[in-house]
Amino acid sequence: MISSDTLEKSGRWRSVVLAIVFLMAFAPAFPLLWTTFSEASPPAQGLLGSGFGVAILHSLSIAITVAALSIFLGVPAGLLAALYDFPGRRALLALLAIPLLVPSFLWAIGLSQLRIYLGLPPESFLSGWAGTVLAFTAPAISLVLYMTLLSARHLSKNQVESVRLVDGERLLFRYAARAVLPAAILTGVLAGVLTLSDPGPGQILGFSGVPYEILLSFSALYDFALAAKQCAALTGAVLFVSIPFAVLIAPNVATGLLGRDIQQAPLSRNKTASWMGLLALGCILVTTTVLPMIGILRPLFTEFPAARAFQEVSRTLSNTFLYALCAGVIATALGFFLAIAVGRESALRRHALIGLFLILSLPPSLNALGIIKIGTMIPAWLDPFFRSRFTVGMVLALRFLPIATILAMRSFGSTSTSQALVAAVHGVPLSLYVRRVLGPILLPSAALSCVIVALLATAEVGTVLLLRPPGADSLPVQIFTVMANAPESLVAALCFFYIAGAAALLMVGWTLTERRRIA
Amino acid sequence: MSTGFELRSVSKTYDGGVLALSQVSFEIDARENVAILGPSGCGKSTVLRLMAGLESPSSGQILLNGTNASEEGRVLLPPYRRNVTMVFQDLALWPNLSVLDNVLLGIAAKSLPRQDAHRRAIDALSLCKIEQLAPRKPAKISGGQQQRVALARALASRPRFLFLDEPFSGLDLVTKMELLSDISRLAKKEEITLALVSHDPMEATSLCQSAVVLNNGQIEEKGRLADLLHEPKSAILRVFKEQLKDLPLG
Repeated sequence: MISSDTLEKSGRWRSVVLAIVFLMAFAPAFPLLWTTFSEASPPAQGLLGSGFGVAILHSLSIAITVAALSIFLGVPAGLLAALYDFPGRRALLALLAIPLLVPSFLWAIGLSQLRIYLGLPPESFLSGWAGTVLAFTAPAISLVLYMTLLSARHLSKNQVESVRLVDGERLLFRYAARAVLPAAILTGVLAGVLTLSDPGPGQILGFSGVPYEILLSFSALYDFALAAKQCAALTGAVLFVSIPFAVLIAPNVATGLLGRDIQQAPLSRNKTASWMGLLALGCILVTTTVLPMIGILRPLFTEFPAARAFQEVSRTLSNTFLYALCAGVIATALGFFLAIAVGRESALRRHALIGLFLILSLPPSLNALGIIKIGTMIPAWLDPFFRSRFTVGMVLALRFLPIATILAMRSFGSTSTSQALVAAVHGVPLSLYVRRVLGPILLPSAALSCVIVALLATAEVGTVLLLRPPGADSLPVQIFTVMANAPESLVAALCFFYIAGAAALLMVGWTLTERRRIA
Repeated sequence: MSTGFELRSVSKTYDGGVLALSQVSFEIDARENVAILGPSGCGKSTVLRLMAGLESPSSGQILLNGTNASEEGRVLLPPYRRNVTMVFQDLALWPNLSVLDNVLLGIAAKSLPRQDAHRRAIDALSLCKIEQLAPRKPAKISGGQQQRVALARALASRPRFLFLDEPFSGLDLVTKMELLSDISRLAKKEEITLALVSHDPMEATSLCQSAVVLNNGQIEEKGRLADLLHEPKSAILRVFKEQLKDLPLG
């Protein structure tokens, strides 16, 4: 009989599970990197393509600006939302989740359409470098804002009140900012790094970076070796930025992730701070979400080709759903398994977080091209695993494994150690304990993780573009591929259906959370 | 053959080199309740966890009824075969299960027929005077009632030893005294030996006949509680004795 206290005891199996899951997550990249570096190198000039140097500079300038902006704006806004109550706070916070759940290229389409509608020249602030930054900043700010909010809500009522007693709101703001900064900086850097892997906004707004070069090499030039080398170079650059940050900040975040049974500080109703909160969240929402949405949906005011759009949506629905479901279920299952294996050991949590940060920051094209490489080497009977719609779901699951694992670590961390120990003393076998106690406790978080990963996976276009079997487009990929040639009203209608679907799911989640909160 | 627990030169060092216990030796006779006293962080809970088989000693040996139960780095007799149950400081009630299901799952390993298990669970709840709470979830009952649920769950398995790891902290005095009196009564009735971890000597005097006082992972004094209180060496018992003397009881 495996005893329930296995969950709380240290053991070698924990490190083994961690190693296996990370190996799985990084494995597709190995054959790609191996062949890239073992093949005879072409002449140094044009090693990575003529435009690659410029593309790297473009990508880096975007990444650094997005990271800085998201931290600079997201942290104060997140703190205001965490410490103060104001009218519409919960609704604004829910709406700010939209940019996280839709592909970034949709925002770029919106900004591009808005520029045309406003009659601005192509070199205006809604296109080029500034437009690309704006498109990427929408999800980045939301990400940092949410991380700040979560971290600041970890301050206990006693901590908040004692700081308030010493020197009022200004000191409280400074104290809270210091408490949340490590996690917020890590998130901001991650958001910046993520821009290095996303080809959409740069391509649409005329400021192409490295990911677009990779896509071009693979899909237009059919030069797999070049795409692989570019991808390897991008990976090197990403790791150069990510590793020091991950190593420096992971210990702090690892401690924060352990759920603590604290009495949260009630939201204060300070008049000035509340107004500032409303203003900050409102401005961010308008700039990053409402404006691009106006741009996206504007063509629908003159024509709404609902039937045609519905036809396209129906055609891609099963693929979209399958990719999302596969990614959600696999990532959640692996994530929870990993979180339980990591348990409460601080060293393992730290290592896990560093690994998870690296997985998330690596370009999705790395694993996707790796799988394509493997697909060329395997016998045909393995095709269902390496060249099918399941493969797309699996690679997406590995891409978003960190999100599922972090949710799982948080959820498992908030259970009590002694619950498993008391089960062990009573002789409750591990399987029964998991079925009757741990499983039902973790189930809501697992469901949430499944939904979030499914939405994020749907919004990830790069992987699906590279890996989808012929004719197996998802809705976002369909939008991405038709946007240049289809009538703008059709693109707008497809975007409308996508955003409406994501918003509906978000509303369901929000309502359920609200009900649980009230209960 | 001795009945009860015997710790022989037991030391425990946690990961990171934190020494929780150093060369601790004492016996717990199955016929009398023992209190393990001492200030916070002195290793009291570690002693209980070692005896329960939830941890293995870093060195030394733990015997149960004369049989080797744990030795250096190994738990030879798993917790569920030691005939012990434990009430933790945070009570460790399973929050998603009803009060009745908490007790039922606690005896699930006994493989009793369904009817018998149900009857035994209800009996345990009745003993603890909370049978009316059977369908409620732990979060929906008071702190004192939660203590009783944890106690009922422990009693339902009919253990020989009941370990209490500071379960009364955070309770008001009246509820605490009621519980102490009920536990004492139940322990006598069910012939259960109690091992109470506490930093409150008042709890100890209500339940236990003997005591082991720990400080910095080592035994400061041990023996019959009455004798220890007569001439206390440890700070905790000295202060307690002073408090008793100073009480304005007329």
